[in-house]
Amino acid sequence: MNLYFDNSATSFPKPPEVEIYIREYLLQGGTYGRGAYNRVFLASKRVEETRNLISNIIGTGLNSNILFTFNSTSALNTVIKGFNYKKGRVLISPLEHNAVCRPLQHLKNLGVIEFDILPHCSDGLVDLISSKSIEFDQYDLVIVNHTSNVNGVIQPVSEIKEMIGSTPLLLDASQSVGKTEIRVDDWSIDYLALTAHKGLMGPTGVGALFVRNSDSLSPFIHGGTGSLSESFEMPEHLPDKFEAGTPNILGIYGLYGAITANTERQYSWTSFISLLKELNKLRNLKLLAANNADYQSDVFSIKPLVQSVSDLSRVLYQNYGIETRSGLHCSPLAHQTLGTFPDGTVRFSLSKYHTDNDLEFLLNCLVKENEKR
Amino acid sequence: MKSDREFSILLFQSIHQVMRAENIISKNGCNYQIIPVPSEYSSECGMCIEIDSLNTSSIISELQKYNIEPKVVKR
Ligand SMILES: Cc1ncc(COP(=O)(O)O)c(C=O)c1O
Repeated sequence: MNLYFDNSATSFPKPPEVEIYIREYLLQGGTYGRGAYNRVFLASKRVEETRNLISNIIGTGLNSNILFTFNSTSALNTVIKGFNYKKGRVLISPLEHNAVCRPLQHLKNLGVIEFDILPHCSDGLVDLISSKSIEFDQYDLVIVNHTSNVNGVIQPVSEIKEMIGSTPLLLDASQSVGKTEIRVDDWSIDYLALTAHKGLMGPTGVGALFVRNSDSLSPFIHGGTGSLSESFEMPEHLPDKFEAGTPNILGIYGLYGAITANTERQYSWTSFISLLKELNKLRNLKLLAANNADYQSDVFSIKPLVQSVSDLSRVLYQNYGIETRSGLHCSPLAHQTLGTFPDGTVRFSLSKYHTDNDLEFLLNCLVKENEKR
Repeated sequence: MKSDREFSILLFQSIHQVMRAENIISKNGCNYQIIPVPSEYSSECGMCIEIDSLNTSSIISELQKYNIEPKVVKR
């Protein structure tokens, strides 16, 4: 039985290939570039193969525009802090994570920008009809969290980009990559941030940033690239402009293993949706999920009505071994939007390794807890 | 006996370009070797690709199809 329901924090277990490729790198060694012996060649080749795999996953032919970072947070900071703001205004979706809100607040404190929130429905889905009246050309940048890490709502990214026109869009794909279709070229996405350790089921410490137009950003980190070394200036070409310092090669090998493992989801989507329907009937537990199942990812939350979120999370672990995360999930804005601030919720996030039996067990435990009250 | 083969060296902007080019050249079936960038030419990056001079123009035009434009020096 797999009772780990905190895959939105970080996925577990990993596909066995993650360990295989990490071990391969540990036994082989070699840095990225910066030398010309075989170890370096093999390591550099694997890094580039992984870059290509990521470009396929997010749907772009621009593989040089995929930049390795250390997680989504460093990718998001690269855009938010490297962007050349002319209007000083940023528009964000209502379910943003602190990986977006905190760098924005930092810039706001410095007097660089102000930020506004897109109109939304009760589940935080961007309200495309109410948004129509917004003058998007008043904004430098629009930032959208593709999939909420609180209630699993998937935003209609392509419609949002169509609506905002030429204003650049930064997509936070931390929770969607590896789970939900992403087509950055077809949708004309300008920037995309992702992390390896969640839906892609890779190791921690690796992320990536897609940048369509690299002239629009200044580098966030300056340092050695193994190229143009005679100059104190950062190179202008990609990916080097945004890849100073030795990348997490060990992690990139693990990510290569995770992606090539091509893990299939073991539970059925119908079982998951019927789990949500059953949970919605419980009197003492309030379900937080998408209003329309078409916009639902494999994450949802519960707000207990007669006990605290920490008590429910603790009881689930102590009585049944179910691992969840209670509180604000680094997303105070999302909880404000959903009316669950400041206590937060208990969050359940699935893995492809869960089975229908695991979901049934989870439902039975929650039903039992609901009845105790 | 001194070899009368002549070599060209392809120099790239970044390791990313070296790896893309290597992938293309290896599929082409031409002989090549990954070598350290000779310091007399550049400090550009750790690796460059040495090829038989005879193959230079065909390899260059193949790389151009992928928007890869290395600097070529004869040895
Ligand atoms: C929506 C969202 N954005 C950003 C992040 C940050 O990811 P990381 O910690 O890998 O940088 C997370 C992870 O918690 C997230 O859920």
